[in-house]
Amino acid sequence: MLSSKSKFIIIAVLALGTAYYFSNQKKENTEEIFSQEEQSASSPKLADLIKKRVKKESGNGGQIHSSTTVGKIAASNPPYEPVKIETSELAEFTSLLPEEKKSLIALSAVMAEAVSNETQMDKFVDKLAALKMSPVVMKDENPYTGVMNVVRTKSVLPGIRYVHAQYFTDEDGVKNLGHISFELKPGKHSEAAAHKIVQKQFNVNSKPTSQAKNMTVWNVGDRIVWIKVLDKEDVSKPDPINAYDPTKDIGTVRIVSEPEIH
Amino acid sequence: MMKPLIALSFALLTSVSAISAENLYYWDNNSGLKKADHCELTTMKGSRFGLINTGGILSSNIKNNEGKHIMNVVAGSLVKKLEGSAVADHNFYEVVGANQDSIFLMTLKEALKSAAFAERLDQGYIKTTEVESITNKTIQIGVERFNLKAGTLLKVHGKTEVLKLACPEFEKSRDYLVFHSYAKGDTRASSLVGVYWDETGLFKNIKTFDGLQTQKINKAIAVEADDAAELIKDLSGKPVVFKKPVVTKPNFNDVKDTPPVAVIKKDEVTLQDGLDNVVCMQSANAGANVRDAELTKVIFKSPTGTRVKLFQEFSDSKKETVIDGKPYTFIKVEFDSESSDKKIGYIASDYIVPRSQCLFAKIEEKEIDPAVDTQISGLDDPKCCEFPVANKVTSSFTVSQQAFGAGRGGDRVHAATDLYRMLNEPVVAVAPGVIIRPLYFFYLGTFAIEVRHSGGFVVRYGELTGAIPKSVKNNNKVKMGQIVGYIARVGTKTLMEPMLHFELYSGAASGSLNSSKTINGINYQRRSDLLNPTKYMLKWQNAKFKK
Repeated sequence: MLSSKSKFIIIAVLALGTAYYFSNQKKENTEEIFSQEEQSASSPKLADLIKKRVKKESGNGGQIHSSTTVGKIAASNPPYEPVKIETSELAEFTSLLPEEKKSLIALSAVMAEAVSNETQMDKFVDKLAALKMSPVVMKDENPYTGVMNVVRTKSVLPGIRYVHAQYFTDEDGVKNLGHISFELKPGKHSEAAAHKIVQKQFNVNSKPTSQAKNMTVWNVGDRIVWIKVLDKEDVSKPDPINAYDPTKDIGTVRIVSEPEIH
Repeated sequence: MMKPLIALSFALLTSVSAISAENLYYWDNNSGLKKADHCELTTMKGSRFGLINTGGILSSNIKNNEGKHIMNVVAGSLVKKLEGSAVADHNFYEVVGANQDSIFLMTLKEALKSAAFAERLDQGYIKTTEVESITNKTIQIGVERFNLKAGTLLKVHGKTEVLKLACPEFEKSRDYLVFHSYAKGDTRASSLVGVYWDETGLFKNIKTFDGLQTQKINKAIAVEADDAAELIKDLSGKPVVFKKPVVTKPNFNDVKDTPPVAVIKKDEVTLQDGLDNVVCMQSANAGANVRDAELTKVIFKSPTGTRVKLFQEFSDSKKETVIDGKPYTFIKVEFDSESSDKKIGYIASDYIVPRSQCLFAKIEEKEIDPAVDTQISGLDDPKCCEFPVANKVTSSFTVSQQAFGAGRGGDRVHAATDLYRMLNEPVVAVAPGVIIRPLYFFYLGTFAIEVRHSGGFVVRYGELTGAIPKSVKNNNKVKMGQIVGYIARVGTKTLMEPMLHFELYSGAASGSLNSSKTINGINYQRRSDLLNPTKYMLKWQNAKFKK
């Protein structure tokens, strides 16, 4: 038979244990995510990361939350630092002419910078103008999903064509870069040259995130960079934007950076 | 029985009007029936056209290049065979005109409630045994097109050979299959109409006939003949002689380019329209010469308002030449696909401008497929909505990486539900609405469109192919259940399954759907009015596929 003291201890332990259990349940139900401190859009250098605990409230359908709290997250793309690439580094790719190698280096640098400074469409346009590509900014607007600007060029660089960038203006009126891409002419070494350039410009591993026969994908911050060698199906199927000639364009290499939007 | 037949034969034999060179036409998608009395009439063995005949079954299956069934094509629909490898006992076809026989369609759609039905220009593999020759079959025009009246019957007569037209202004390979044309109610052909397999706009809305009806029609308008002379013989028995045209090779200098048009060119950096360039001439009816790569031959004429995509070559080399003493720069263009194969040629750069800058570019009125037309007040309206894919998903959208809110690496989460289905399968509008943003680059080689639906909610249909259904362009209204796109594969075969990426927004916010913001601290990277579509998807799916 237990003494009163023992009973008291048992009850106290049970009570404490129960209280402890329920307090942890609440913690376990609250998923914790870390967010980076907001960074200034105008100076996208990485500040010291400050990890905060933020409550994630699960949505159960329909509205995500009755009173939506909208906050900003920091851009997670690394700051742009120009990468110096000499054409001699592409010496092995003999199917590309010297001026085509220069084009590839120059445009990939412009693209990498645009990706890093993804709110600065005007700067991107200026860079294209400096390359004498005659950039054109087009605007698609509606009252419900706002403005999408598309930047393309009237002129090409040797071995390069179809520069295309999409900028979306968000709720706060800030332009953000979506898809950006260009194409490299077909050739024996085009794919390999594109791989080397992407690895250097975007500072990615030679080991990509995923790789299939004609397509290679790397994750870079909150974006992806991918390379695809267009096959017969690619140049024959409908494309709402670019024109392709199935008799000439097989082997074209497309180089793309996009937000990880899926 | 004999008396009516004799009477009919007598009527046929004594009928006054005869087919003559004056009744010879070819079809032009941009202007209708055009005189073809200068063209040569001969014969050829068969054509690319065919009719779906499933031997009594209401529809045939269309499959993608992986052999998966993606949609149904109504029996009696007109198709054409395209270049492409035959797979097993299937060939690659494009739908030219879906059979609009209303009673037949009603029965079919009732029987196959959840199926997706092929529209004009949809493509895929069809069993060769389910496509029969068009010879001696009759097609009725459903809607008036230019100078071709509704109710007109078109029929290809022949046995082992059929008639074809060859016109000197076109390439030799451009054979026009000849149809006998019967005005509504007539039992005698009033004209012959040549149709090029790649220019088939006259068949946009058609009706064909079942076996019994065909027999009746054939009794009335049969022409038992095989060679050209017989096929074009006046039914009174007298042969009709066509003047054989003097075919001369067009002289480079004789083919005149119309003078450049004076368009109002706005002097601004930002253009107001998107990637919408058109052929622009000095009048709505004028056309620009489209030349071959050597610029020596005019392949065809393209009318004002035809949309084109501009090629960029990999070097800034210009194609220039002098015509009538005037220098021109030519650019390579791809024509907007009313046709299946890519149409590519060279046009003088002066004649290509953005649509908004062309005074004479018409905005074509788009047809709306007669899908369900229901007005709804919003997502919670009892009539809302249609499940956006044709069949049950192959993998649940409530679990794993397909689910809304699923982790995506780092702190980002999935802002959509993914509906796994078949490559190239149709995607339909969940509710009536308006396309507010047409196809744009989305992710890993796929595209997206944005639709504002009645009731105010917005949907982004993502991971679509680049194929644009005929009825879908910017500002186009869509009905519930109307095809708005086709399912693509993200990346390559080994990366992901084909799927529809479905994003839902209440419409309470404005600005782009992409955002760098969090919502309640959650990194969806979307606009603040993003909704979780799961409960709606389940409701619509259950309604569509309930037994």
